[in-house]
Formats: sequence, structure tokens, C-alpha cells
Amino acid sequence: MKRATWILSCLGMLAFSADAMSVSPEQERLKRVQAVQKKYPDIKFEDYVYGALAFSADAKEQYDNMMAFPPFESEIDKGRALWETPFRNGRHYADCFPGGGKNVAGNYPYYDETMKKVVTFEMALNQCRTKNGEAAYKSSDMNSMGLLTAYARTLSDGMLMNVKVKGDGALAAFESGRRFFYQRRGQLNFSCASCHVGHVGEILRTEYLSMLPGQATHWPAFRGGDYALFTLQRRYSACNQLVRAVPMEIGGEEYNNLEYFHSYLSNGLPLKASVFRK
Amino acid sequence: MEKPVAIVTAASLSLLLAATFMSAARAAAPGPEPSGQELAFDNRKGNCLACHAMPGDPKAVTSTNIAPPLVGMAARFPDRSKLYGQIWDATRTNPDTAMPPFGKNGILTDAEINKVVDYVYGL
Amino acid sequence: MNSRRIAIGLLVWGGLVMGTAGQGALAAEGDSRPALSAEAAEALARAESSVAQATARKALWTTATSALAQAQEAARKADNAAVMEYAAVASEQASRGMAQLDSPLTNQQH
Repeated sequence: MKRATWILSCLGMLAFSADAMSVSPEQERLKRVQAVQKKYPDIKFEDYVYGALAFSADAKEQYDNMMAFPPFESEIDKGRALWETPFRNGRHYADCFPGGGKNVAGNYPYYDETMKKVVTFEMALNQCRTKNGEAAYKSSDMNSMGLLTAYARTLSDGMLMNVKVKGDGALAAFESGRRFFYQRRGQLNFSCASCHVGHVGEILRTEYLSMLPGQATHWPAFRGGDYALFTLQRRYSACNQLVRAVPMEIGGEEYNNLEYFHSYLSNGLPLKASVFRK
Repeated sequence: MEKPVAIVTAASLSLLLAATFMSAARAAAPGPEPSGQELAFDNRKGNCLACHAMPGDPKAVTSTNIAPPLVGMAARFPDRSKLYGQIWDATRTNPDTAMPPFGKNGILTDAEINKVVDYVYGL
Repeated sequence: MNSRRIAIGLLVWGGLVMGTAGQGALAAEGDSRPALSAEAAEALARAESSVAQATARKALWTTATSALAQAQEAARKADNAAVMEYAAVASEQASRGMAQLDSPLTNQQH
């Protein structure tokens, strides 16, 4: 009788501590993916990368036609020139990454145990610059970092998102990003999740709301009629302003942690950079 | 001898009046107040069309399907204060709601909410 | 016998002086040091402090920022009424933004 009580109380304590801990990254990801699969069983998992386009065959067709001859091709070419131009010391961006920079973007962001912080792909591009005697680009400058990453990321097109979260530091950064996603902000009182978890596939005025899994795979995006270049974090900034919250710094800790969480939630989905979006 | 005094009195009075009018003129002249419908449609104010269809109003152009359509509201909200409360802060009835707290967060004034309530009851 | 005329004269001149003094106060907008009332200056300082706090806590709303900017613009013109109005909005929106930090995370079920 005493032994049974002891076993039961141990099980009880385990259950209690499981509730007290945050859900693990993989549990969170599966929960969100399964929720979309349940609500929209006809949309294939790999099509989550199309976001709002996955809900309208017409919109997807327009997108496909646009992407056959992208009007912003010349911008990507500018990025290519930036990528291929050697540094003053004669070395290249390709020397900083395995495989000459091919199929690397899906490994970002990662948590750097030495620096004790999240490192995004754009930060890695800047690390390459400074390591080779060049000044870092401003992460928020679409004319330098924007164009560079618009080309550099295309070298990883087709690679599956493969973000890792291991160890206490990484878990804390992931949790910080997760909390940002689910926290209400701005005068309009929306969290990112209010729409992108709570109302996936529904229409806000005239636009479909995209699902959280898949969102982080398709950046930078060239948006709207004037094909303005948006990195993912520039999009975070714009979304925050839409709900009347003063945005965080592009390249700062909050958005880096958010990108870490956000990208993990797209694990297993194929990347495609420099695409059109409304 | 009284004429110059009268002239000076008139002159000083008119100066005083002019001073008063000038300070009054600095206050903003109020334009026509927006109607409840205008407040509901305006995407800087209520922006109700973002989430609520209004089948009863042919001017209400929206494709949304997020929130319940605004129709037959008198039957659904016989108590005006409940409808007012929903617009003022919908998180009180649903903590997870996507509806902004128009009153609590100062998005709409009390007068504006009342106009929107009147408009919505008419749908 | 002249005292009545003197009294009227004094009243008239007093009125003239008040009128021109009023004009002078309006003209003071162009002076280098416009006169902001103590009450308005205090309201502006409180608003600036609230907005700074909300900024530090990463909880600032754009509505707080723009109301503060309008209050500061009104202060430059010594428009006390406008300063009071906009400063109140800025303080209120800033504290609402900070209170929002305590709201529960959304969509935590299922």
C-alpha cells in the first residue's frame, strides 16, 4: 500500500512538472501543424509555404505567372553582384559558408553557445564582412543587407528548414520568441497568434490569413505594386506598426528570438527566397 | 466734450472684442461629425468591416468571415449595455478574442461607440 | 466736475491697455521663450516620463508616441490647452501599453 502511494505520488509530481514546464519546441510545432491539417485537410503540408495563396487557386495562379518572370529580377541581380564581389582582402562571402553558401540558410537562426545569443543568417553575412575587414551592413537597410540576402538566400532554395533548439540557452531564446508571438501588443491588442493561429485561412477584409507553419520560409519578399523589398524582420516591424505597437529594432534581440521561434515552426518545409507577395 | 470720450470708448471696446475673437478663432473649428456607419467602415476607427459582414447594409463591402455577421442585433443583444460592453472591451466575455477593445484602449470615444451601437442595431 | 470725465477717461484707457495687452500676448508666440503654464509643463513632463518608461519596457504604442509629439509641438507654441489635452492622451496610452504586458498569452489552449 505504501509503495503504491509512493509510485502514484511520483507520477503525480511528474505530471505536475510537465504542466509547469513550457511545451517543448517540437510539441509546439506539431500542435500548430496538426491544427492546420485538421482545419484544412485538403491543403498539403508542403504548400503551407504559400501562406494566404494556399487558400485561393486564383491567387496562386497569379503568383505562379508572376514568378515565371519576376519583375524584381534586376534587384536580385544587384544582390548577386554584392555576393560575388570580393572583399578588399580578396576573399569572398562563399568562403565563409560550407558548400560555398549553398543550402545553408535552413540552418539559421541557430543559438550560439559562445556568444550566448541567437544568430540569424543576416548576422552571419555581417560576421563574414567584419571577419574580412569590411564594415557590417545595417540589418534594416534594404539597399545593402536586403539586396545581399535577397540573392544569398536563393542559394538555399529547396532546402528544408532545419532549425535546432538544444540546451538551456537555446530553449530560453526559443521561449522568449514564442512569448513574443503570443503576447498581445499595440493599441489594437492583437498578438501574432490572434490571426495566424486563431483565424488561419479566414479573410481579414479581403485578405486570407496565413498559417504560422510556413511563414518563415519565403523571405525576403518583394511586396505589392512597387515590389518593395522586405526581409522577415522588416515584415515584423510593419506588422507591429499595423497593430499600433512601436516596433522593435531590426537585428535586435527581440526580433532575433522571434525569428528563432518562427523559423523552428517552419521546420521540414522548403525554403524559397525572393518571391512576390501582396 | 463727450464726443471724444465716446469715440475712445468705442475704439477700446472694439479692440477688446477683437482680442477675444482672435483667441477664440485659434480653437479648431469643428467639422461635420462622422455617422455611426462612417465610424464602422473607417479603417482608422471602428474598421468593423475587417471582421464583420453586414448583410443588411448594401454599402458594407467586405469579404470577411472571421466574426459573426452583424444582423438581427436587437434580438441578439436586447440589453444595449451588453452590446456597448462588447465593443468597449470584448476580452471580458472572451479572453482570447481577436476583437480590439475599442473603448478601453481609447480607439473610439464613448460618444463614437454609442453611434456605432445605434448603427449596428439598425442593421 | 472733471472727476466724472477723469473716471470715464481712466475706464476707457484701461480698456485700451487691456486690448493691446491681449494683442501683445498673442504676439508673444514669436518670442524666444514662450510662456507655458506650470500645469501644462508638468503634464508634458509626466507624459514624457510615461512614454520613456513604456519604451524601456518595450511596451510603447504608436498612439502614445504621436500624442507626445503633438504635445511637444503644442508646447513650442505655448498652447497650454493643447499641451494638456495631448499630454493626457500620451500618458494614458503609455500606461495602457505597460498594463498590456500583464495580459495573458493568447491561443494557449488546443
